Amino acid sequence: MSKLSIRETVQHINTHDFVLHCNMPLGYVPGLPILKIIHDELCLQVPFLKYKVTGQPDQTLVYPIRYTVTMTWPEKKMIGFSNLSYDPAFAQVDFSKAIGFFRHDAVKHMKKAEYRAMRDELLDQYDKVAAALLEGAEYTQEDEAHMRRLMQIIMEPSLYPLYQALDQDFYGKYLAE
Amino acid sequence: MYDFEPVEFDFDGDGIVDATAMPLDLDGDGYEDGTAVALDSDGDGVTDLVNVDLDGDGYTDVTALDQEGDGIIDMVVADLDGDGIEDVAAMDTDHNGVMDNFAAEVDVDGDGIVDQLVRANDYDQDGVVDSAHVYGDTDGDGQFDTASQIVTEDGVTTATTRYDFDGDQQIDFMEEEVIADADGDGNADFYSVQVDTDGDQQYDGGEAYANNPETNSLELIAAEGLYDVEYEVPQMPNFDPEAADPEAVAGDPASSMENWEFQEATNRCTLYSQKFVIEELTGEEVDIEDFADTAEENGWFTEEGGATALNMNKMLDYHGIDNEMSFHGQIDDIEQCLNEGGKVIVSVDSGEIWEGESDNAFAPVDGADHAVQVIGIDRTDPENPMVILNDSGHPDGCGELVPLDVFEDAWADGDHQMILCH
Repeated sequence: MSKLSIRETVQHINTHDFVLHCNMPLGYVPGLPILKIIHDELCLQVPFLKYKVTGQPDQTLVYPIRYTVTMTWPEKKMIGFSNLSYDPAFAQVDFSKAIGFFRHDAVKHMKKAEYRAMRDELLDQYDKVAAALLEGAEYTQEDEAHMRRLMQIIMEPSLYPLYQALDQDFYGKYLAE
Repeated sequence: MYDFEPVEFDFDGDGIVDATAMPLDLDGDGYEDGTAVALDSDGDGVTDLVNVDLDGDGYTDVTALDQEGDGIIDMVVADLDGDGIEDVAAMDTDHNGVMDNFAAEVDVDGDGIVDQLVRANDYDQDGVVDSAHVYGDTDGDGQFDTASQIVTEDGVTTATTRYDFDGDQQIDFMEEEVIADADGDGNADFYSVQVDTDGDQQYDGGEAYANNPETNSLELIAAEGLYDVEYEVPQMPNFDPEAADPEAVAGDPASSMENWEFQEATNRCTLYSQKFVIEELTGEEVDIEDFADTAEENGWFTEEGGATALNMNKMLDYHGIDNEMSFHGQIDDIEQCLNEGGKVIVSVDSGEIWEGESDNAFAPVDGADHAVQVIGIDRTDPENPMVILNDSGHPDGCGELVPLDVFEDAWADGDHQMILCH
């Protein structure tokens, strides 16, 4: 079994053999993953979406999440691929049109390196949650509050409804007001 | 042939006709199709209820009522889908003989479940609906998730639709469409759409179209918000063979540049890259439309999404070009292939190629979104080596010069994917 962390797994997922064969067009990148329990197993659902750098400050276009890939954790056994454009729950989403801008207000003050460092820090928090769930490692209310705070800073608000539609529990724990 | 004489009934024997049944021949073929029955339900000598069986199945399809007993029909209900339940109703609420209030339940997909509820009003009694509300269940879960209000006034129709994607009773998305026919000729003169993409009830993007009298079609006249992001095409330097030391250049970029074409506003970068290589290696001209048709027919490409990473060499295979696709390549691999007379295609992050690194304009995650042909590496200035690209995605992409370190970063975003062709 690979020892890659959740952050490393997400960052390299585009060239995973399973993902390569999912037929996602060029340009789709992994968003922030969703931790969920499926049949008593911890799983990682990785959404895929597009961004379009326009060259204009804070006007990188954010497109809707269109695909998801789900794997068990920590085994990383791929258990699912979904094209949301064929999911009735997303019937009203126009996947060809941008739904928001990046940088959003919460990160407008951050330079690229600073933003990426905070995003990495957030992804590292996922491993803490996984360790708590799998091994009973210590995970305090402060840890959860910290992850929630990072999530609400890093995630583009335009993606909130999509995350809510993908996983109400995850949304309620980390993103809901 | 049928005798179409009406039949009168006096159920209570008081000498007053209580009901009249009239066979109907709706298609004029001389045979009965259905029946209309007019009833005087309260025995006042005035017909106040008419039941119509349009298809002769013995069940009432349309019922007209005179609820006020004034001789004027003020309500009509109909069972259009024949399920025994009325699904359309029209009412004359002010009893002036003009129906002004309408309601309908519609099973759009025919699965037996109502997907749309429609309410409409003709406030000014001119026979034209002025306002309508439509509630839709788009995902078939039995819960209405869209609500539209459609208002028509002075030839201008405004439709506002609110969406609740996740069923939490909160608006996630809102859209307002306006269509105007100012001269009343039946053709739209103006159309606009505004969208609120974050559910904050504030429109954050939109477009407007007006009729061009010369073409008699709607053309975009304005856009703002998300659709108005001006894409600044950055100036890119191009390779100049006269300024380069031929001994320090890998590949034959001057020759390769003759094959470059601009892909315009399409997702055909992977196709153009392969076309360039095929034309160079075979000397045959490739028609891009035929090329795209073949790729699409074989499932290797779509106009909407482009191609996947694994399908970037499928047209090379189709044309019999010897090629090898891999990830985690090195710049030395590219240089060696070019020096041996081979051709190279790579996937890159276009934002980094065109915009470079910027602290104010970047994406949250890097990834390859574009395919280009690497046609040379110029080390004329050893301190500033340049990669030379045939980039179909840029209007000046013929022999596009990119600093090696910038290219390395953009290439790394696609995990150094490369296709070496011989």
